[in-house]
Amino acid sequence: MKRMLEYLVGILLFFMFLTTFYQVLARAVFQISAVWSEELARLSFVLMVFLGTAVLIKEDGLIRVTSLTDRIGKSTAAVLRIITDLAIVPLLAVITWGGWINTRLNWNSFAPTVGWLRMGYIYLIIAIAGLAMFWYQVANLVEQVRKSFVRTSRGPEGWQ
Amino acid sequence: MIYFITFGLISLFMLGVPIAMSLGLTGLVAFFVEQGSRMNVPMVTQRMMYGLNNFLLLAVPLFILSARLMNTAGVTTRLFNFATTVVGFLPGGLGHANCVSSLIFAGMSGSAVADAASLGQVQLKAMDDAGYDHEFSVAITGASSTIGPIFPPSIPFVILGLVAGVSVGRLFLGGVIPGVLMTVALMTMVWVYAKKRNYPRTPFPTLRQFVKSFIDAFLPLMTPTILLGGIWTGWFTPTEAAGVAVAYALILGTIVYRELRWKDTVKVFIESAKDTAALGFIIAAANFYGWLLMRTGAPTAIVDTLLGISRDPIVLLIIINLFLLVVGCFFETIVSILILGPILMKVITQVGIDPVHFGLVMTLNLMIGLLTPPFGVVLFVMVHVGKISFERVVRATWPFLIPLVVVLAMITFFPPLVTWLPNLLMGK
Repeated sequence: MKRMLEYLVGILLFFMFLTTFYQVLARAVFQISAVWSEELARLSFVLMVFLGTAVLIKEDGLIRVTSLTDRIGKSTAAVLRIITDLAIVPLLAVITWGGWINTRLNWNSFAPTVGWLRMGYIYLIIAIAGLAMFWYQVANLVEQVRKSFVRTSRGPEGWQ
Repeated sequence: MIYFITFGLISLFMLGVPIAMSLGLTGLVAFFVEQGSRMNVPMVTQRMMYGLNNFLLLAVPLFILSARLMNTAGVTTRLFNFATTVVGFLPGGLGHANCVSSLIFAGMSGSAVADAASLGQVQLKAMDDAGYDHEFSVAITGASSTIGPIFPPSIPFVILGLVAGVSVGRLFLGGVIPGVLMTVALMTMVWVYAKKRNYPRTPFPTLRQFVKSFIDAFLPLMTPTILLGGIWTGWFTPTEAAGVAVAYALILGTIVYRELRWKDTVKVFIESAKDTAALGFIIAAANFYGWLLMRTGAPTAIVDTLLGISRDPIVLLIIINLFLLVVGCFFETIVSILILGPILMKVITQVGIDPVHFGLVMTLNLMIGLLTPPFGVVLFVMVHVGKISFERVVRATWPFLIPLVVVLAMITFFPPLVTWLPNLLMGK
């Protein structure tokens, strides 16, 4: 699933580039102003960020400050990590839930310049991205707890 | 509530919670305390989405993408070779080449961290091979990467333009002279080191060598010209310029240099999308956080306090500069711009300081923060790229803060250095 998400965000970025570039071409070369391209590019950017964040959670790739946590003992850091990871879970739940409510609220509103595009679709994808974030976060958390409290044959290296 | 929302955020940063999540979580708790169980849940997601739903912001992923494409297409190596040919004969040759290549690469990339991580590897390897002190090489590589967001294009300028309502085109043009000044200042520092430590120089280039490396680097050298020219003539907006830069990088990589393989290109797209998400989610969460911060009345309080101290532009600029130097030590650049940018803009416009001038001062100031402990992001990149300890990077880097602070002082007290070019080209 992670690979699929990765390709998806890559494609969204490519699509965003195409629409933006088309907009320049359309105006400079064909002398027409494309209004829908801007909106589609914007929305693919929004989706790219939400879906990409899910990938980053899975990979532990979010930007964080580690200068302090690198200095404390490994076991303290592991416990701290579990607590802070746990604290994020409600936030991700709220994002998902909020995404879902917005999906229903906006089901009958359409993107201003792209007639067929229900804003509900956008929020639905955001809600799904939120769910993926939530899922990865919980999965990482379980893994972290397992590593910290269950001694594996790998020994102390098991601490991350 | 004000205390919670500010110090709570800082504590979460310190505890190693991802920056975006710290912003979101602090905001969420504040929101919950305010509204209780009847909390308006959809508002959280909506605020985050609004933060991203802006065409100007699209310049960010596209500039990230074009810089990565240029790097993969072998442009960075060509630029470094060109810079070595042009300034390598000065004492401490590769140190100068390091500064000059950073300046040129700054013309196609808008992020210091990206420059340190991509071009930095090329620069560091060349200097190590030539027998320079590893620490010196690490320091100049890190310091010169801060030119990236000052010389156009620039990701911080795009975001500042967005949150503070300043013309991004003007900010870009305003960054040209300060970017060159930073290069000159850093080269002066390299000169001092080279004299003291007797660093080698490369032979003076023959005309043939010069012409060859110039031709090799000519097309990438044109990137900033195309971008600025396009924005200046009104052919395209900053976001569209970024799209053009991507197309240009794709053409260079596939048709001209033929170093960009299909597989690499796919990887570059995926990696750039992930970089964007890392930054984008911070922007989204900061929008939610900023909205709650505004409801506490803190921004107005800050504006009133600052204006209460003095209404003299020079005094205010000095105070804000000192404040930002401290902030820069602890906060990430983009976070500082997102949260403080709009507040400080309100202060300076009230006393008649030019927003473009201030935008440059603020961004350059925060660039210095990238090089100061405890949270200087570029320092961490250099630990990673240079494979030496954080303490050694810090010790090697601090002398290079002097030339940067000098440039900061120059542009603070002499605004035409910033505003002359945009005013000349785009009118007052």
